[in-house]
Amino acid sequence: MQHNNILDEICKASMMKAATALSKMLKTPLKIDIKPIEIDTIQKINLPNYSDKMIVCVFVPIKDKVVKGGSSLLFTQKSAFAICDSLLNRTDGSTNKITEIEESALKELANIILGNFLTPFAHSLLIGTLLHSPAVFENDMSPEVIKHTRSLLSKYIDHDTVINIAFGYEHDNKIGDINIVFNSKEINHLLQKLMVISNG
Amino acid sequence: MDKITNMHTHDFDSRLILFSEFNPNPIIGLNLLGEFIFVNLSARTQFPTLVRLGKKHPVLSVLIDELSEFKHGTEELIIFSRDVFYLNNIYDQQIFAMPKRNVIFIYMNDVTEQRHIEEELKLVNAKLEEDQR
Repeated sequence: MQHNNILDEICKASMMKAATALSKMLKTPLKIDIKPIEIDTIQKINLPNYSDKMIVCVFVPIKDKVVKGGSSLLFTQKSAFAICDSLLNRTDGSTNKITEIEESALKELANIILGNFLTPFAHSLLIGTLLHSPAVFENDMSPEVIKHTRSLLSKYIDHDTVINIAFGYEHDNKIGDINIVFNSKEINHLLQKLMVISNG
Repeated sequence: MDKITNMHTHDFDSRLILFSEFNPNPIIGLNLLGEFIFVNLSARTQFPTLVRLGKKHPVLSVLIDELSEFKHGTEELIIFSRDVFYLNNIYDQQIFAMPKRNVIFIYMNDVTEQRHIEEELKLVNAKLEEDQR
């Protein structure tokens, strides 16, 4: 129970840092919806449901020695265009397709969000840093993307049970979801170590 | 300033006010109309005209307009982060609004030196890239 409370607080502080960085990148205030932390299997965790829409996903693997995981930044194609307008300093409505430039901008955004999440997260768990790998970009129908995201998570997290940390953001047509998923066994081990050290 | 001090005791726990009062970084509390709830010592000394100018002060520029787009009473947290320029300084401003509670909290950090170093690094990087071509 105590572990869960500590994890909640660490995740909340890390999500706030990530959301603040996102707001700065998009140059706009964002309404933030922090979801409850889930501990479940990769197949059962809640990933955003965009029905049958075309969506964009930027998946960033976390292939650190200490903790394995992955993060997905998801938005509808329409929202991805609006976000690219902001990131690339274009007038609203200018972006209408995703080329290498837009893909690179969205990957950069995903890296910045995850980096800003991982820094306070790792510091709080007394592990200094957590390394993430190059982002994987996908633009497809929602069910296919979600299926592929789950398979990527299974590939990078060598464990059935995971911790799913998620928040949504929204302002005008800039709407998206961020999920950061970790191997729960590794996180629990770190929390136990943290408790031992904290208690002296 | 007395007006703000009086509001402290009515609207906030005075111990929490004291806690923020001596924070070395500027902290500002507003309601959704842009009226001050709290301005700590650092904010009062670094921005002496803040209370008089209110939402017209450069550090609060367009903030209330930007936040007014969100519905009053919304449950969610609104987060906004930006750099603001005041005289020769650059401040990182982190804004947390809770419309349901009618509050906006603004936390500021002077990042002038950091931003200048970042600019210098960008120039060095650009030069190195150009040299490699």
